[in-house]
Amino acid sequence: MSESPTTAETTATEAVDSGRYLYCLVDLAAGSEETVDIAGIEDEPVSLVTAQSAPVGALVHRREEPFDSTDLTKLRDWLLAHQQVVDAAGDRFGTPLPVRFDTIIEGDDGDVATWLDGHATQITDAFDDLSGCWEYRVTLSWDSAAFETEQQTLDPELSDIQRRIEQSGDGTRFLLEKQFDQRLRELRRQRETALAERLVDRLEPHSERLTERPVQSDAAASLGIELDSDAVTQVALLAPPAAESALGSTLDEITETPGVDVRFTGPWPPYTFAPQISENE
Amino acid sequence: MEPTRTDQHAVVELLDVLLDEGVIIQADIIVTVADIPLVGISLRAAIAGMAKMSEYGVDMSWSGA
Repeated sequence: MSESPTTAETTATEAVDSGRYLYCLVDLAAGSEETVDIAGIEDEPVSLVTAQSAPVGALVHRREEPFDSTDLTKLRDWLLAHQQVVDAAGDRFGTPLPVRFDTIIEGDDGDVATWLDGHATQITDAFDDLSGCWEYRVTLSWDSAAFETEQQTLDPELSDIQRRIEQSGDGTRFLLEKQFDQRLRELRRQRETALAERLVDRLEPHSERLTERPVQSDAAASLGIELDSDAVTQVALLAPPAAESALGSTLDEITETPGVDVRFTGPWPPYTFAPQISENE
Repeated sequence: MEPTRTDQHAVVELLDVLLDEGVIIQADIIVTVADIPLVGISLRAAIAGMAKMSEYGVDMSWSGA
């Protein structure tokens, strides 16, 4: 049933005799389910492997090699299927520890259980840190057009350059226009910094943890694609669902500033706040 | 306002994060593509492509609500 990845771009792919694709880790402290009924990537049946020494488990399916393709449709389907499994895990077990896409453990269920046992402290510590919180994300964007127009009269430096442009000849005019653009850019940047700082200040009181993220992915940037051209900053925060109302009200107030818009997404499994699990227990 | 998970941007944003974040396991038992950046780049480029897809109205619908 599972489809082999295209081989054209997979010369570096390793395959093993037996492996388990890992979706997420789950906290079983509130009681365990022996079986789960979830379909995974490419409809592979997902199963729960539990540790012996601690109330934690892993959702896995059998997979011998990583998924890899440049086919957009296939990739989209794999990623969405992965996320649906993690979503279902969240519904049943509470906040999961989501694992990065395409993580495969070599071996069988027993090897996964051994790994869980060997890292039980790190894993239970991570669940304690999360304590029922979920990730939310806020992207703030700002249309600076009205601000720029306003600054041309409000900012003394810009007004001054404008006056000198009107009085100057072609050569000087070119240089002055450069200065004008530079000053405008600087004013815009200052305002963007202030908007970002204010967003963080207003959200922090309602968050367990908070981090600012780059607004554009590296891949999108390198391909010249702007995912969100007016975006000023993006914040990922960890909060309990009970905080949604306060977060929403805060964001409503923030959007009262002219030109400012906010996108508020979640609740997500806490990808941004998930730990690295090292070999040292 | 209330947080959302179902609009196009949210989905694209999530998929980008899914490739980069989440529990990272350092262990010899993890099967990896021998040259991770190659896979990462092709997948991330696809995500950027998905952003374009959603702009062109290609169906990105997902029942996770």
